[in-house]
Amino acid sequence: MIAGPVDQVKATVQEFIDAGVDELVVAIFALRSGDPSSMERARAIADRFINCVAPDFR
Amino acid sequence: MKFSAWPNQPGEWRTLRDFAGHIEQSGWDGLWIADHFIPNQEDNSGPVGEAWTTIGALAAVVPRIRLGTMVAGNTYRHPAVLAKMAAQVDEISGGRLVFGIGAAWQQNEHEAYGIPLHTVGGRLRRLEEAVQIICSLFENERTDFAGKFYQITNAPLSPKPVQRPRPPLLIGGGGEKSPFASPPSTPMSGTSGVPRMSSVTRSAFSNSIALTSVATRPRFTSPPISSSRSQTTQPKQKKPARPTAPA
Repeated sequence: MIAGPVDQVKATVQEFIDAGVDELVVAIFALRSGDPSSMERARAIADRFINCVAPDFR
Repeated sequence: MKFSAWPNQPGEWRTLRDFAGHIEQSGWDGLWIADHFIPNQEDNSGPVGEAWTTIGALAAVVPRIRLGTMVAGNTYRHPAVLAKMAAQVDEISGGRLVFGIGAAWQQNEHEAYGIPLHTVGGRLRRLEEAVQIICSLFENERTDFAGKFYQITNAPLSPKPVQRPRPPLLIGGGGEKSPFASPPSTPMSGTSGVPRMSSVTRSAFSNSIALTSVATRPRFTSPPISSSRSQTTQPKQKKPARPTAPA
């Protein structure tokens, strides 16, 4: 389990890059049947990652 | 670095379609769909969408990002049928399919649906044959294959996938028993140019992919991103693989 602030997650992504990985698949298991609010949670998770972490590695 | 999202399948098409649209519009590079039929838990009554029909529908309505299976369970469909399905999805998507396939593992859905699970070794050997068949169908006009588990005769596949010679492959799993790490062992007959598992994976794996998960709730007050390193495929610094163990 890897958890922490954005910089720490970025450091982990960098470790993947250093190991030769060039695509990271991020599991977002937040959608729930019959729960409309789960969409917002899933979007928020996706947005947080793509906006806070991904730009440093584009 | 490419970033792809792997949402769970809530069983509601509109929900997944809307989420995929958001992923596309917010700058992600791809979206992956798991291939399972029922929840992997004691209460298996919850909804789970079917992977290939879903990815085919997504291919029609989400125009940019790559779409992949994470990963198709080989035991669920005959490899020739699977190749046919994948080629059609690649055509619908305009060449955006990443063909993920693995040996399959989820015991409860095999039991519930009466699908033989086989031993680990047996599944891996079937996977090895299946990948050879699928790649040959993608690449050759006709395929003959006489394996231990699968046999096909003078089999065409048309239309071919848009991506030539084939869509990128992602082989799920790893470890010492994986045929993906073993020398080829399956005799083939007929068609020349059928790639064996080892050459397929080595040549098709232009990219290495890592999986991670993001927690559904913040674990820290400071930028709340949490992830687990659940699996990597073909890590470059892994120790040399040994031959496949017998089933």
